[in-house]
Amino acid sequence: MKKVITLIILTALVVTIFTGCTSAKNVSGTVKGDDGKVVAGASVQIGKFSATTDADGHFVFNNVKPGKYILKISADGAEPFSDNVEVTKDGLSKNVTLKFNTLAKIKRSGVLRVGSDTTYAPFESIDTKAGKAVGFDVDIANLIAKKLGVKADIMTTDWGGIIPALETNKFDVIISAMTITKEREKEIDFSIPYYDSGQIIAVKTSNNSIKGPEDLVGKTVGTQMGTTGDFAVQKIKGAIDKTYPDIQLAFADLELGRLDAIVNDFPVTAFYSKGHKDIKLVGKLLTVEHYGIAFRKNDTELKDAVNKILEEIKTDGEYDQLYVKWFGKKPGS
Amino acid sequence: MLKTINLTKKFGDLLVFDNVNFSIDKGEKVVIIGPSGAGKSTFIRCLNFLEFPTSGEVYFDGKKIDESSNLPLMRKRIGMVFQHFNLFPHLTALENVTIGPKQVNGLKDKEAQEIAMHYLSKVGLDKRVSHYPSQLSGGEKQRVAIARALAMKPDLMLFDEPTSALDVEMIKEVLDTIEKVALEGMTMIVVTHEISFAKEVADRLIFMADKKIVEESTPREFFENPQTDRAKKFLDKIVNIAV
Amino acid sequence: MQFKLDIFVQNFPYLLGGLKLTLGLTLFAMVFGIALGLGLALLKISKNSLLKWIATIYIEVVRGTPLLLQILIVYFVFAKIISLDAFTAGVVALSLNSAAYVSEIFRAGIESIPKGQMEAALSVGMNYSQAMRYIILPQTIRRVLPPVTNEIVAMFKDTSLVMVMGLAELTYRAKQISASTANVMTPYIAAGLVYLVFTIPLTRYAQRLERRFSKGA
Repeated sequence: MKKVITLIILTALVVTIFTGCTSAKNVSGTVKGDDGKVVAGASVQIGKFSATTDADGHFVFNNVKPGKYILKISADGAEPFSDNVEVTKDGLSKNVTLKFNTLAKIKRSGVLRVGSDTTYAPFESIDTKAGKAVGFDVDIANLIAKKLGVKADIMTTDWGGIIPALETNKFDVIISAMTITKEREKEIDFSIPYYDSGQIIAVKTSNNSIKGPEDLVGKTVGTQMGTTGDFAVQKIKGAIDKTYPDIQLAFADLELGRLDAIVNDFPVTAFYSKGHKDIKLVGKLLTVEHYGIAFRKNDTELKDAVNKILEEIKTDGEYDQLYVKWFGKKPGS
Repeated sequence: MLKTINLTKKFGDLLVFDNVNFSIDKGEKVVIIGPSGAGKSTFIRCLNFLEFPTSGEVYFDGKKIDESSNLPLMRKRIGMVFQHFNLFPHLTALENVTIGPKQVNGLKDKEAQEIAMHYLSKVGLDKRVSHYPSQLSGGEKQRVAIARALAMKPDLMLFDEPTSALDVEMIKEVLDTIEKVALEGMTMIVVTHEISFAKEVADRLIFMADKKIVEESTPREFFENPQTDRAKKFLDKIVNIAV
Repeated sequence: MQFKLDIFVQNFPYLLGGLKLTLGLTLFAMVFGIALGLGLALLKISKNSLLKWIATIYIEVVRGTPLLLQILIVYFVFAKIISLDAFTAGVVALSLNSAAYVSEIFRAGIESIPKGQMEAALSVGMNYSQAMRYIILPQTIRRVLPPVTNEIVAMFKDTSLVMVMGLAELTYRAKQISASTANVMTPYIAAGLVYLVFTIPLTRYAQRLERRFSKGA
């Protein structure tokens, strides 16, 4: 009988100690980002206690008394999290997912995803030997990525779907010789201008009748669909705007005599006419345009960071270097 | 063993046969004879539910069978031989016979092959087992089909005009095979136009015409002394053809 | 605007690199398309009118709309629910598309098997699915091999449409080479030759099978 009582007391003791131990670490959990990766160094607050997540995203509190609390979690670049929780006598286990902004996600993944229609030399085209994208825009993208402390991944995208692809998060920014327009700004945000361009008319070298936009009336003019060249020709009354999915096809048609002229971005047309002596540029620029880097609406943190970098490289000479490399002269000269 | 009560089949509005009452006992051999269009084939196809009867009842081993019954279980106990053989063209003669025992009864390859070889030699085709149907004559095909049905060890065999699609010189080998099966005590229902076969093998003869059973007797009685005008008319015709 | 051998030679390796994507898309889409197509065909011939109806609507919708539209829908519109990468979206769109065509091939194939085959299978005690698996489908597969091969050829060529998502397959790479070399003719002719290397033997194979089956072997 005595033995039995001793046994019961011993068991009770053991149970008490064990429950005592478990109640010591009674609130715990893991913090993840909406990219699925754990968040290290997030600050976690419950009542007046606070803690920081470890390398695995775990947090632990000891000796939180049962009751109702507000759980607050915050991390750099993430929307602060706050929720009413109840700690019972069994403690509380809670896993939380933080919403990061695009800039934070880029830094967390180490990759800046850049959408670009790589059929537009000298801004972006494929170096077929190396099998990778090259061009002014590509160098700009790499430079921006470097300054953000990440790597740029140039993701080839068709021009026709480039804005929807940005909006559906196929990549983070567009750097693809895209002109800043009011229309586009309804859908997406732009950086400060990083290249000044304009539309230029190209005709066959043998053609001496077209000298400016006024001569395009009644003529068939090739443009790339959805570009500012397309929009410019639409504004010329009497000109027939023939659009192509790809400006190269318009150049081919001009050489075949099926087009009277082409209206397209000056630097691209200049690049093409260098290799094709049967095509020449005529007149002044039809429009003054500025290329911008495009962001999804509300990616303000990313836009601000990129704008800062653009201003920086324009003043420290890195931008000029790239400009000379691709266009053979300094900007504005 | 098998019984029908007021069995009726219609295709849409078209009546095929009407109120057929029929039964067969274990070991009995019944021949169904009659002019084409009398509904004989459709009738025996309703017995194993390849066609669903429109009304009436079918009893097999005392149990009522309908659309919700376990039809595969019933069908494997009722072998069927078709007018156009319906061999599986992508399988050899041997595989045509083993596939039932293997897939339906779950036998191992070896067991199924033993059974198949037994029945293929019974129908005299143990030398042709690796041939495909396209390499066999019509008579050989029908004998493989008989072996295929027998390999399931059925309690009852249905023959649906088994020689109608055959050239004359092949009819005998098939009829001899069926007769051999009959002599071993198999219960069978045979739809046929072969009078001598009916006389020799059948215990009972059913004359179907005008969508119903018109006469039912022994073969001898039927051929020597038909009771109805309809049967007399039919016999006149086929005897003329035979002559 | 002329064919230049030096451009052809210099850029051919890059062009050929796009073949991996073209073949990968074809292979995946073929496997999923055939599996899904067979399933649809079985639904369409089933006695259950709801299943039949679902299959019929699916086939009508897919066959009645352009593949290009389907790709754009899978890539951009589905992105509201699940954002697929371009390759996956391409495989999904091509599979869903070819399934509709393949299912009609299978359905016609199954229906071309004489009724007596199903009856014979049932008469030895097989159930419907055993009869399908051991008797009907093996015979169907032989008959549908030529049209399915033709469908694969069609799909192989249709993979070029995924370039709207910027996937650098054969045609898109030709387009890129055209931009970087300022030459239209050379890369497109080169791409055409690469397609033909695959399509001609496959088409010939399908024709040979067709001839063999029409002889009744």
